[in-house]
Amino acid sequence: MTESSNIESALLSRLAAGDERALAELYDRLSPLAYGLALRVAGNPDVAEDAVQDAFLRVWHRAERYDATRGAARPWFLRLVRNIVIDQLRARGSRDRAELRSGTQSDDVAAPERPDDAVVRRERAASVRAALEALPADQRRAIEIAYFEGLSHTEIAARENTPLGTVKTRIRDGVERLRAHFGRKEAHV
Amino acid sequence: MSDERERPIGVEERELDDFALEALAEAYATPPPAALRQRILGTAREETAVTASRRATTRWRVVGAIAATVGLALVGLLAREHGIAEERLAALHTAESTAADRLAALHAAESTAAELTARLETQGNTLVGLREALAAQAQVLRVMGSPHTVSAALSPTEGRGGAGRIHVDPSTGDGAIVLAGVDALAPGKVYELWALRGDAPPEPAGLLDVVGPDLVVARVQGVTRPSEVTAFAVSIEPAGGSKSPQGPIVLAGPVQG
Repeated sequence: MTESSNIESALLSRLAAGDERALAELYDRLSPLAYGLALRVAGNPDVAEDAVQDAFLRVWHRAERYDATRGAARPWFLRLVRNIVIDQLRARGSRDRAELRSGTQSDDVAAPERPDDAVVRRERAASVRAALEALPADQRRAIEIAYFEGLSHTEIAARENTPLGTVKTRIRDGVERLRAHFGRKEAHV
Repeated sequence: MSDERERPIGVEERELDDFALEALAEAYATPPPAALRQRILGTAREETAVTASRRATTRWRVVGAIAATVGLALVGLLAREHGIAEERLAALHTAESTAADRLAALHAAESTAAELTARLETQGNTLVGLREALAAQAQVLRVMGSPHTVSAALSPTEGRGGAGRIHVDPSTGDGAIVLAGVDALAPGKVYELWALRGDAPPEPAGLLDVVGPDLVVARVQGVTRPSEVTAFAVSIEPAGGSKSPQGPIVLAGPVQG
């Protein structure tokens, strides 16, 4: 487990004990990731905000449901955010979703970040995006459909009219490449 | 809170999955609107307060429910005890009533027994009287059949009524006396016969059992030296008799030649 995972796992334990400050700390650590993910999946800032708020409040009330033995806290929370967004979109229907995707601008003013945090985040985001863009298009598309839209491999295969094995291979190869990219990068630091 | 939509996967696959999700989130990380932080923290605080209030209310409800249950149980217990006590009291009343009935029956039986005893006693006395009278009449017949008797006619003294006659066998001193029209005696009183010899003090000659007011027939026994008796008298004496006359003399008469 990484240092980030340990910190976030400890914050979830404090949340389970009703520590409000732990909620604030967790929010400060994960809200840019959660909001960016939600915004990417929903394509609408209002839906993204609602989903992020819903996710943090669910964790606040039921943090004890997090099981550290089943995985790190961060991806667990991000998966929760993504699933909430998808549920909201499904509840609104596909037509609304299409309308939502047409406008992604938010009127809200973004929360100010500490300058050094913002720099680090932007650099990392740019690096990951670059790695994603370096992937073959079919791999990148398969990964984005799988992780942003929450479709199963079978569903992706049906929608893309592609064999299931091909979909699995594309996703697996793409993720492996990303990990190899970051592994090499971290090794050079 | 379902965050596991995929089929179960292996550790390596999960690590890849987690890595990809984190990587994508980092790739598109975006600071949320400034107001969202305060909204989430404020909502969490309010919901916590509401939950605490509900928990407190629930606790009081639970306490109230427990208290009500205990109260009902106590009321039930008291009602049961009260019912048992009432049943026992009713049984006690029944037993008491039965005992009173039996006591009354006992008293009635006792009273009946007393009446029977009294009646038997009366009948016994009557029987004794009749037997005595029969013996006295036999004595009279025997004395009357004797060739010589000492006899006296008894007349009432002043203010008294009735009359009498006495016959005594001079050889044995036994005889009989017949009284008629004498008064019935008050309880604790008896008629006593006296033998008189000239101026000597009267000698007691026996107690007379009076069977009825109209006619008295009584035996006379053991009159000493009957031939020397000059007169007989009858007086009223205390029960058991007297050694010398204490009460009034009601009949008296000289021995007839």
